[in-house]
Amino acid sequence: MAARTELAAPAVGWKWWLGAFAILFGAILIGAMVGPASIGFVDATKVLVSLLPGIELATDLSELELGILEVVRFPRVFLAVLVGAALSLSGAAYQGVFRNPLADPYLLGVAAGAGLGATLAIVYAGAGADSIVPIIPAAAFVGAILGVLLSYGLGRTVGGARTVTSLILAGVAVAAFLTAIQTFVQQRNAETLREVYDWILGRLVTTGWSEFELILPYVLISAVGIFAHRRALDVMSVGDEEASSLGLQVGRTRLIVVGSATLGAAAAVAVAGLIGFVGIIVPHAVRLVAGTSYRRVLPLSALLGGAFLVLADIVARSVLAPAEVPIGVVTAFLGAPFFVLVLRTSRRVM
Amino acid sequence: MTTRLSVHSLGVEIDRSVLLTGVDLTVDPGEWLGLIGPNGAGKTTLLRAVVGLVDSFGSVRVDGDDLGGLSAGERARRVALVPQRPIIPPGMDAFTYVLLGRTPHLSYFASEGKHDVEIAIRTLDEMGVAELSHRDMSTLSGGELQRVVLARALAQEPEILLLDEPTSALDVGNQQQVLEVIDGMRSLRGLTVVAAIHDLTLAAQFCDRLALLSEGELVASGPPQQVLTEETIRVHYDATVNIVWIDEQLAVIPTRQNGVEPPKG
Repeated sequence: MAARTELAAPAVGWKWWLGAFAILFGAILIGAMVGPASIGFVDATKVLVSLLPGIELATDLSELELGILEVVRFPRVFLAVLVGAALSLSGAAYQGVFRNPLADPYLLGVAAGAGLGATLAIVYAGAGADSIVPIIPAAAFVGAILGVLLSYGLGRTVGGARTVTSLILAGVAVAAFLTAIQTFVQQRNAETLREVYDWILGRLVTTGWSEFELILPYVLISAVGIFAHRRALDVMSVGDEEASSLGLQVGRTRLIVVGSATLGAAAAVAVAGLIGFVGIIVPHAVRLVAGTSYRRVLPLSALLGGAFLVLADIVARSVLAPAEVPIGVVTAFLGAPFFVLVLRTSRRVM
Repeated sequence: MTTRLSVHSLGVEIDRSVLLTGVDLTVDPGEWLGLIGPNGAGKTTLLRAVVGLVDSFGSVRVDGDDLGGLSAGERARRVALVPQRPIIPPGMDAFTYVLLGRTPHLSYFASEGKHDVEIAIRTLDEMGVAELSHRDMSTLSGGELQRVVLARALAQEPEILLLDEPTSALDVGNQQQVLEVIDGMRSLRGLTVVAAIHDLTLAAQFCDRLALLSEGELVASGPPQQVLTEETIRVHYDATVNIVWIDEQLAVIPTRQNGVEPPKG
């Protein structure tokens, strides 16, 4: 009987919360410490705590160093947290709702739509990839949402939205079509090739807190929408038919979760370009160590996805300093071996 | 109310092919109805139509209420379906799987409470598989799996349990045990059972009544000894069998035209 009393619905235990928050906190601190002007652990911690409203801790830092932390490093680190969390959560949500472990946040035309939007903005609105003009994020965001709407609409007309396959195939068709237009526009305007390319490879460039503030509401709405369905995603793991015989309204649930995930992915893409791999690798690593229930996968993916992207960004701005490596290259470069490591050291199977 | 489930002129058409037509059935509370018929006769389609997984015409009523007019949750609180080949979620333990059966009793965003956990523990216990609670579903044997899937359906606390070939993947011992445990739940909870069963002898032993489907139509229904005749089985299954009585139990024995000679001596 002793063993039975511990039976409970899946949830994130306090040890997991503690561990995930510790990793995220550590990544944020390292992100603040590393750079051309290196800053000590204690000072970085004090400034970090001082970011909270109402708290002001004295440090030994110069005005310049304080400025670097508050205006340059922390905004960038927190943007990385937000983008990493959004991509990981969206990836996990898509994987759950489509019961496909290879689904990523860019499924259903998010990437292609955003790519086309950003390319049009760069080419025709003359917005440089490094400019402050928020037209690129806006165009990428709108493009991403339109891409998914097109995929959903097409999927419904051909498959009656009954089968997941018709939706995914519609996404493939829409993505191919939008990418074709994007490539065409790009080739016709070769002088902007580099800017478009920079955007596609993903980057975290910040001007103070503006990018963070720009996407924060969308990421929050997306996260709430996805978290609210953490149990529904577990139910959907038995397939559409059984889930609906269990009383779940499968079509409606899928629509809301896809909508939420798309919002988060589009927001992330809007400010950071196409950062690949995070949305697949982080939820999978979490599954391998913490089990497959979405009640664990979702919160842990958000926290560890944030930490992962902060660490990837540190590498991106360090290895070729003062030049930067595109962060999308880093996530793939670090992510793949890390994933193999997790796969090898874990006995759980997908 | 004397009838628990009543199906009236139920028909299913998919892509212009008729899978089921004009089926009339009633099942009393606590009764066990067996659905029999050759492959493709429409047994699975009938079960799926009752829970609304396929569009159908005609009416399906539970205690007089039209199932089509009920919400998905309300329907799932009354009728549970155990599919023939359930999808096993990767990496899920048996207990969490059984808890999924509580879905129709939870509001949209709610999580399982203490009461739901107790019900899941109890149903696993009643199915005799409490010790499997922590086991990964993918590691269970066929018999264990069938019991856990049954526990999930019973955790829905339905009035009617629909079973699609509950024993088709099991060995003879597990077939008997699983059917016995279903029968036990039936008397314990007053459950009404409708089960598609392949094995005609088992169907005769466990069901109160049998309904024979053939090519989408209900061709016979009644007590097992009335439905299972050598003639009906020859006509609808295209099979040659002997109906024999052994210890007051009906058995359907397939026979071969050029049978093996019995050993001499």
